[in-house]
Amino acid sequence: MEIICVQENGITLIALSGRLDNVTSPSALTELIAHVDHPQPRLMMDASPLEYLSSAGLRTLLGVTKKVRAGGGKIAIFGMSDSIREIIEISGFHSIIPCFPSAASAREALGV
Amino acid sequence: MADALPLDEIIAWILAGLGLYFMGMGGVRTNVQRIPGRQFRDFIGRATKTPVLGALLGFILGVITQTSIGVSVILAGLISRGIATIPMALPMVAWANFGLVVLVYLVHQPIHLFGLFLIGLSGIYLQFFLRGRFRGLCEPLYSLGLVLLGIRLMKVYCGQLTDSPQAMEFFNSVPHSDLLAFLFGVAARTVIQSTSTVVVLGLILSGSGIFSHDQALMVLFGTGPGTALAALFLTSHFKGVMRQITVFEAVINGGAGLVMLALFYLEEIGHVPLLKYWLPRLPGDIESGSHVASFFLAQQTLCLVFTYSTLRWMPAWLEKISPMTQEQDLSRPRFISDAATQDFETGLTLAERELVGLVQRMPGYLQTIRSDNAEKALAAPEVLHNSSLAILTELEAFLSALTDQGLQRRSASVALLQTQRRLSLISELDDCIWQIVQGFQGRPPAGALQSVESNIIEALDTLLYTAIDALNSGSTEDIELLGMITAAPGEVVDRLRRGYLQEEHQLDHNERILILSVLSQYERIVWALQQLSRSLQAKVIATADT
Repeated sequence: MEIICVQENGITLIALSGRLDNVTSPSALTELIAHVDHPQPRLMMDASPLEYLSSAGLRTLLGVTKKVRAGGGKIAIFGMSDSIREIIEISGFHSIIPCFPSAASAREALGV
Repeated sequence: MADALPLDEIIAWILAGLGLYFMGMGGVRTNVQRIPGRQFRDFIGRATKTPVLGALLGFILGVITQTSIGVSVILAGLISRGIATIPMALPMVAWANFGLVVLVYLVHQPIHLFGLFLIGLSGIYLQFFLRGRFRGLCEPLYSLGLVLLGIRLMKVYCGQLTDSPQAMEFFNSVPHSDLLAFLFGVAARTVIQSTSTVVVLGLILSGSGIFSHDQALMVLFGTGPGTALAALFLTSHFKGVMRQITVFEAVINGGAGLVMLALFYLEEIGHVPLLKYWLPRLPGDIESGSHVASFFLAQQTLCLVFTYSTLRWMPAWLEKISPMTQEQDLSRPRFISDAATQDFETGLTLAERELVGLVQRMPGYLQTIRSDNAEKALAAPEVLHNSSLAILTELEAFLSALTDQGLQRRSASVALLQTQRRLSLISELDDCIWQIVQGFQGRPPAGALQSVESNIIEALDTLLYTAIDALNSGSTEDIELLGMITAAPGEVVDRLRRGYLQEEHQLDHNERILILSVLSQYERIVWALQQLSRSLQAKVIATADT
């Protein structure tokens, strides 16, 4: 699991690659939380390099979403594969974490 | 003098008596087993905590049912629920064993008239007042009447055997050996599965002159090891607590029988006045059979002596040789107890904690079917399901008992209803997850089926952990989150259903059925979780109001 973070016009852009599962989730959560630990964070997550998302990974995304919301910020995720989008939709997480097909539409949703 | 009956007629009467006896015993046991509702079982549970009451109740149940297996089954259930413990239960089982002596003493009493009245009156009542209020009482009484009539027939017609030249020729040809009589007692007890029946047979054969008093004693002593053999071999499939109780019965009965046998031969060989010496010296008429019955009393008393003298180490030893099964352990409620029903608020809090515990187990179902087997499963899905069902049943009864407390305040009544609603939803959840796991179990994951399985497992796991967070924290945020992710499952599930049934997935008919079934169960789960979040929201509002 690799997390690459870039700051871009007041937006934190994070690319998630590899497997977000019960092995990688604890450290990933700590790292992701550190990137949004400031008031009104605006977070864009690029899931296109993400190969696998388990329930532990979903809970990690949920933890980050809670943190962003608590800080009064916004979050968007884009570029998921069909398989990862299906897990997010079945679990109902698309109603909490706004999902977008492209970076442009995600950026638009965050008001940039 | 009347002519002796033909041998075949005598045998027919004896067999009829034996048949009536067996059917009557079966009827008594069945009817007594119907009585134990929760209240009766709880009464037994409370009784085990008071040694004298437990002993008395065990004795009475032994007298009525003429077996200790009924008491053992009830006690095993109570131990599994955490209401009783093995050290509390063992004396009660021993006293149920002791209760068998009563029927043996009654054999030579003129009780057949009483039996005939029982059959007549209860039979007439059952015929004409089918739904009468005494039906529950008349059925076991009718069966008891059959037992007494059966004993009477066996006794009378075994006596007639001595008038039959053919029968006596046969008996005289059989070697008159005490040891053979002992082995007959062992074998008959193992096969017939009823100590009192074998002892009664021995007494009747002795009273008829077919067996000597010594042989009757040996048949009686043989029932001890016979009980042990039956307990050890015929119930070898029992596990955990039930096995512990049957092994205990084997030890005390086998031990008592062997001690009596040893005393018998010590007297024979060493000429020490131990058993036979006392046979003609006991008060009363030796031919009445009560003398031999007194030795059965002595043997059963020995069982009690063994019980109380081994009580310090026996439970630990039994636990070592047959540890409580995982299912029995998981079936034990962690929070609720009989005592907790006395205080409504405490009881409700504990019931809620028990409910949370049940949901916390649910991800364990999914671990059992994960292809990567990343986390070690808590238990097999069957074990999880059966133990959850046991706790759900306990919780239902527990909440009913809280209802009986008399709900004075409206808020208390509403709180109870809410908890009962959550119980029903969690029961639904457990059932649906169990169905999904059963569907996927044992199927090699491949193709579209593997994709459905993996996605459903991960999504379900996430939903369950979100629900656990909401139940544990009770925070508005967590509850709202649960509500949001379970708000509209229909559209997604419909899309998946259509998608997976498309031709490109190349599923066979059974796989399509499985996918449809799993998705339907999944929809039910999401619905139940949505209702659970609403119920938790209502609880938060009610708590804020008070």
